[in-house]
Amino acid sequence: MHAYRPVGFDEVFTAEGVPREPAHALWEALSAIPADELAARQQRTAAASLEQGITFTVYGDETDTERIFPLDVIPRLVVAEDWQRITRGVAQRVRALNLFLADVYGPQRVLRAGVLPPELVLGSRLFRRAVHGIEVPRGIYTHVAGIDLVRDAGGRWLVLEDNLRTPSGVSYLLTNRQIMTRIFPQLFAGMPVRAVDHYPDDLLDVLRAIAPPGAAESAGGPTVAVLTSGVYNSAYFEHSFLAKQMGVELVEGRDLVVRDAVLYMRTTRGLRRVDVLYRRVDDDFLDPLVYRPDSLLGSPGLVQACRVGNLALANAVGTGIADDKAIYAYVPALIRYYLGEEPALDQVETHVLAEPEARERVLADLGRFVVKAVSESGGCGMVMGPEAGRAELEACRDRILAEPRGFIAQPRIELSTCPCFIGGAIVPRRVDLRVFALFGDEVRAVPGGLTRVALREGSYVVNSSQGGGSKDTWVPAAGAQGRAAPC
Amino acid sequence: MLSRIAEDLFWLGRYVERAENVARFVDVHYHARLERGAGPELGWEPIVAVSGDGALFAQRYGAYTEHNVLAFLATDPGCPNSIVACLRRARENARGAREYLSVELWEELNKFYLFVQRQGRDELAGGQPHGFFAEVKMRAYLLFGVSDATLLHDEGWHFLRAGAFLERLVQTARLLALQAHFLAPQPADVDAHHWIALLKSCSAYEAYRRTFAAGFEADRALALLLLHREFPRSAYFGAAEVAAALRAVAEGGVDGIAGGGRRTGGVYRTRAEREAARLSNRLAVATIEDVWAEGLQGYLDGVIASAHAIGAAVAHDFFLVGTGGLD
Repeated sequence: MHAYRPVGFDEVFTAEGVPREPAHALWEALSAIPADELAARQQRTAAASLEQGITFTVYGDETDTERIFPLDVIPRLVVAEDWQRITRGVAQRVRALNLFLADVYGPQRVLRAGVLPPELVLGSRLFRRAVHGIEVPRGIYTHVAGIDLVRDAGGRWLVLEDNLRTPSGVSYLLTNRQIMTRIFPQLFAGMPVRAVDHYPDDLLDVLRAIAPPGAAESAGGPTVAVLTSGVYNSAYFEHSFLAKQMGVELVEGRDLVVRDAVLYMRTTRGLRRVDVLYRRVDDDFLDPLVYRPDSLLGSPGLVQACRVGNLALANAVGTGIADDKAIYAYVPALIRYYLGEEPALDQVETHVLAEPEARERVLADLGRFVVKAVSESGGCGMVMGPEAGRAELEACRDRILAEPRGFIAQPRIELSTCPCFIGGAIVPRRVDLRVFALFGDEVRAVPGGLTRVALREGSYVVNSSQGGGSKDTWVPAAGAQGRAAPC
Repeated sequence: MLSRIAEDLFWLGRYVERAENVARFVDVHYHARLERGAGPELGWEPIVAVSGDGALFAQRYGAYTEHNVLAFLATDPGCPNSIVACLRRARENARGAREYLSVELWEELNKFYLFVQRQGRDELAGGQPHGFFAEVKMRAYLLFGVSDATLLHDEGWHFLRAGAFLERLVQTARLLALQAHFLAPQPADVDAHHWIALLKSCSAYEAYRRTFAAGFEADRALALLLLHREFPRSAYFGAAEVAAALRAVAEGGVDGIAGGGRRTGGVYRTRAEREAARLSNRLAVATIEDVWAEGLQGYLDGVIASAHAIGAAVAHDFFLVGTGGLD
């Protein structure tokens, strides 16, 4: 076939280039496909993305360019027992962090118990005082979570990051599966994979369940809407996709008005009440009366509508404190404190630079660490010590000293690789996994998740905004024998 | 539907129609100048005057040359009513209503805009401006054809049409109003060239020929352009289509209305519907004698004022919901 040279831990191939046991059947099926046929299918995935409008638009004065998030034609397998542990670990984190949020926006017992330094919470930019004391429906803050996992050089699964504000990517997860079943039906035959297409229904159920009492009794049930920041946002496709799949209205700030602490949409038939808002707009922009006064993306009075119980938001205001990277370092402690359990999933060793000892240790050897800003996501504000030049490291040091609370440092994880079809050949590329979980009656994760690929050789950066791609992710259905039909 | 989307669709219709009107008018008068031959000079000034941007032209260009006038009205993004400026706004409206539009409509509109934006200047400089203007008209017709064929004929489609026909109504009335001093008080003195140019400006020349025998008579031409029930560019036709579209909007859908009751106690559910019906009815029963009795200029001013009232009522009833005070 072709010489596949793993760089570090590869999920499919051993160092000798032999497919590991769980991937045998899949690899047998793939090996039977000639390279040019594989290339043709790879091209079809790109064409399918364009045709179906699964794009993000780069708007120009003259013309608008549609970009796709490249889908690699080789699916990634997550074996059932790994998936079981992952879902257990994710559920633990989401439940513990949710209890943490209810606590810090309520009695704040965790701070008095000294589980983590109070100033870390109270001094965080992401701690939203204005919503302290607000009772959220069913006590849930984080209805939609995106937990990012990686595998290290030993193949161990580690949680890299929690995303509890407005995690995105689930639309790619859904459309990837759709595209793969159309382009590569033979791969699925004989290899039953757990389905993902029920996500929009599940999401709608979760949203309807938090509607204010009384809304459910109105004709047609509670009115749910998706709040987007608009067409110029890179995640706009997902906002629009989910609204369509759920059959609910997609609104922007300009469509909303709050009267007497009730939220309404402006329609051609007059004002129409909104009971639940799935908001894909950051806290800072939601309500000019409470947060950024210059924001047009939300509606004045929105927070008040929540406060008096006329409106439910998913996710609730204030969840950012739970995915503040400095708080991340304490999640294992929070799991023990709130759930009385040991974490089922390990996480990356994290140095909170607000703490003097940790800061000293890290600054003494800055080139070894990955430095991250605590309140950013998507790989923004990240410095890769091992790859940074002298000047970059100096600048990083200055930023840390200027605002130590703003940063954490982690050792760089040698991310696992998966075989990808790039440039006509099958080559290893680093991957991560974003697991999506909904918190309704319980925390349930979408089987598989979104595998993100660092497409550039040697790169560790998987985010779509910075040249990443994705893979369809398969969790075998119960009873799967693992033999694929010949192509 | 959301007020914002309805407004985007309404203005999408208006701007595409406006672009087509500009193309038609400039095309006709450009060639009328040439056909005049020995007749009185038809300057460029009146052509610019129709756009309503005469002062801006004087500022930006100064001299009324062919090159300047064509550039100003066709490809100058700085002229608010140039063809390219209209299409640019139409495209922005379409972006806002992208979810509602069909893929075909979005693509055709983009191609239309790019054609004018990229090729406009070259086409006009090539010495055969007619080709450019004809292309603009065709693409506008195509766009409305695509919208009829590919969109659901629901509320959004009605707003698109209401915008287009309101614009058409306004353009026809304005065109006639600007010509009023030629046509009155002695319409018989106006020569044939002038009538031909006027009728062609409204794509009415062939319709006139089909409807009436040889010779141009003021009464007949005006009746065709103002009152004819079957001519698609008559003022009456535009008003009737707007009224029908707004009636369809009011009658469609089952959503309850929360706050701000708009029942007016009669047949009409909205003020916009009533204003449109009022104009449509007036034009439906008018005769050309009624027009002359009021005076052509006065009558046309009345039509234009009514059209503006319709536009304001549409905005108030459908687009500005929830802004400002309670109804």
